Amino acid sequence: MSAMLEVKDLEVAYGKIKAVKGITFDVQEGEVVTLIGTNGAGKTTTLRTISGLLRPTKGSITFMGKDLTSVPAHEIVSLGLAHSPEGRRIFPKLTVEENLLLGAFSRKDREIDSDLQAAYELFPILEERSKQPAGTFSGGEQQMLAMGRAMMSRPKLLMLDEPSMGLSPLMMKRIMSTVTTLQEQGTTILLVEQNAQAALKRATKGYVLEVGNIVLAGTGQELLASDDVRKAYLGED
Amino acid sequence: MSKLTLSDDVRATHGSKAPMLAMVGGALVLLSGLLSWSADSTVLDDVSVRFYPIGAQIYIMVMGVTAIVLGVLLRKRPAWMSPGRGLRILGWATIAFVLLLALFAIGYETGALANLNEGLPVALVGGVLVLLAGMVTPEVTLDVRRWPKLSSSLEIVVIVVMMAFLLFAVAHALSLESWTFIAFLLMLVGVAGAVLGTGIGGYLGFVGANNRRPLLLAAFLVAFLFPFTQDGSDANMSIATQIIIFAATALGLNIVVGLAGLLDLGYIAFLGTGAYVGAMMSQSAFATIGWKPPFLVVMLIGSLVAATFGLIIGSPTLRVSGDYLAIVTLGFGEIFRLAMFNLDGNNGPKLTNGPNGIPGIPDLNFFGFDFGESHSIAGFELGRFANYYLLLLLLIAFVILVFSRLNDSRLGRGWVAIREDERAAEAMGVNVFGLKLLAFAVGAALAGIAGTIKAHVDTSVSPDQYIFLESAFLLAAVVLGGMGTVVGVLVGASILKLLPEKLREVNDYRLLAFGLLLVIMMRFRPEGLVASKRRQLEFHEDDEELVALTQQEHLLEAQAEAK
Repeated sequence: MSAMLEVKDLEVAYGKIKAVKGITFDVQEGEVVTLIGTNGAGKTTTLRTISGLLRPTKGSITFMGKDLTSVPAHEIVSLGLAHSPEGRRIFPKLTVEENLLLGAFSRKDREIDSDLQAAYELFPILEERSKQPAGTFSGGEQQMLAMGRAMMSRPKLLMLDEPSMGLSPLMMKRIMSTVTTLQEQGTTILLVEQNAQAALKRATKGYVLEVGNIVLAGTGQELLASDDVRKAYLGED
Repeated sequence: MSKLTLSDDVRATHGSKAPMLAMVGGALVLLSGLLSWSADSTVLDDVSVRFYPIGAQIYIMVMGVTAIVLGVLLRKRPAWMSPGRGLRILGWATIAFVLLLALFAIGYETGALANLNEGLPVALVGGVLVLLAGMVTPEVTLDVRRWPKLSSSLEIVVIVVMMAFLLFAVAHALSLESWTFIAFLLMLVGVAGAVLGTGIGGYLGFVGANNRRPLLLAAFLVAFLFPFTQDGSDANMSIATQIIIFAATALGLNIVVGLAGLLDLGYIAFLGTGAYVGAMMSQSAFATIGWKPPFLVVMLIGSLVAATFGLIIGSPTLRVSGDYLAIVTLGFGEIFRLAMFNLDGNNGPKLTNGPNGIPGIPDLNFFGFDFGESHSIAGFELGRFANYYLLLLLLIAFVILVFSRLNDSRLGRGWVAIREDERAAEAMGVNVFGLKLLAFAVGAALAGIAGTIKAHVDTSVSPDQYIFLESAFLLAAVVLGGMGTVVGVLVGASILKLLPEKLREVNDYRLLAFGLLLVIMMRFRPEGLVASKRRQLEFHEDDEELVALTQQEHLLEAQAEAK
């Protein structure tokens, strides 16, 4: 079976500085794949390149058999690839409902309403406050909105960039358990996290990035058990 | 105004005196209308006679009565009202009213402040008392759940009364001249601001939101009836036609600036494009194109040409953003004007007759209905400008329809997303560049249609009508009225076109006053006169009361929708 997403020898540079230095990984349908690593490892850059917001200097990105490197960002969404960006990037002055509908911007079918209901079922608080400006939300609620918004495009592959950033432990649990729910509902997920423990626990596969290179790969359990990972990312001696 | 209030301690100790202060202040203001204002009987239609109120004196008496009513309301306050805020607004307005009339209408016009009689000083004392009353009133949290629940037919009555009042106020305002006009405007701002500021404004907005259709219908009915109040006189109707053309163009600009957030400083060029197309294809002897299609076709061509120009200008410029976009569009606006100036046959093809422009554009004629002649309809005389006014009313209805349909659509959401966060919008699958181009093209097309009619209303087209200042005024109308709203832009456009017409005396200081007005607005109400809730929150995020109120209103609206 060929992979849903295949990234090969990907290199991305900001000017002369290479942020990603030739990484190769793949995501199979139904998996939760996580990229972990410290700040500046190139995780966010990788996601932004996959969704077309940045262009690679070298390498290829293939999604469901189609090369993405020359497809404009707005068309990538309609191919079934959604990106919930770092820092959530919700539209603070728009209402919750408008934010969600923007997630479905690439669609013109008639089932948007039922997907809106599905998003509300996933996060009931969003329905309660559907008419409220999203900027008045707390961080955790904004993250729920960002995830709900990304789901509105009916993605085959959902890319989540640091969904637990800046959240309380309780809210983090809620968000991470939603990742599992989404996987069970059949969404493939590419997850970038600094909270390695929580990410690896749920991941079928993980990659460890360090200054633009993949230094370690394995199943979630393997990585969790690895001494290197435990030392570097889980704060254990 | 929130910065100019007293400490909670002072309010707690003196709050009980507020109703008394308001009523005494109001009584003084009321009384001042009966006194003599000026020793010179030539200003403000003779305000020198005692116990014979006229013009501005009647207006100030209305302000006095309003203050007394608010004072009474202070004693028995409904939970959703805050008369204190109303009193503060009224107090400031009264003081501004008195000072402006005393210094300029009497002092400056008669040449000596010594002409000032006892009336205005008494009103000043009254105004200060009213302001004080507002300031010592304890701050309260409004509870919009206590809004009176009217049956839907009664709500419609509320709307009709509002609209009838509006028609009366506009017709009356237009019959006034110079300082009396200013006095009326100040009174209107003060009284309306005070009444709406108490919380009635929010309530009326709620009633309006519940009855969008009747409200829209009533508004157009009022606009339609307006020419019939003018006794066939064209003086005001000519101003009104200019206002509508200006407003329609500003609404087009509102798509570009208000929705998509693209600052365009050369927008007048699109109105000019339409006007030149209209002129070149008209029956004028100076028209430079031999083909004379019917006007509806000309309108279509005008809008298409303008939209094409929008695309041509947009595709290179929209790659830059923010300040750079503003500079580039400003340049294009000037290029348009200079091009029209030079396409006279000497420097290029003979299209525009250069600086002479295209004069002698004949009046429109639809199926034998000549717009240039007076017509009598049901006993009412409608002159040339009234005819055009009614045509333009159709135009602006169309523009409003386009604007509000776009605003509520998927496209509108895309535009707003681009305005808020371009990168995030792109990640949502919004074709950022394409949508920006579309905003430019749609805005330009609307301005182009307005331009083709403008050519016939003005009977001539020349390059000097399309200077940068006009673009600046269009933008000011959008910002002043309230970006992204329809009503706001209509209000902004009316004010900016009406004031210069009515204030011929101070025309030399027009730009000065205009600049001052903008500075004051940006200080006290940066979101514009009529602001969407969204923008209000944007500028007053730290105002907890506003946030709480907005949330309550959202709940109520959601409930009303669910019903």
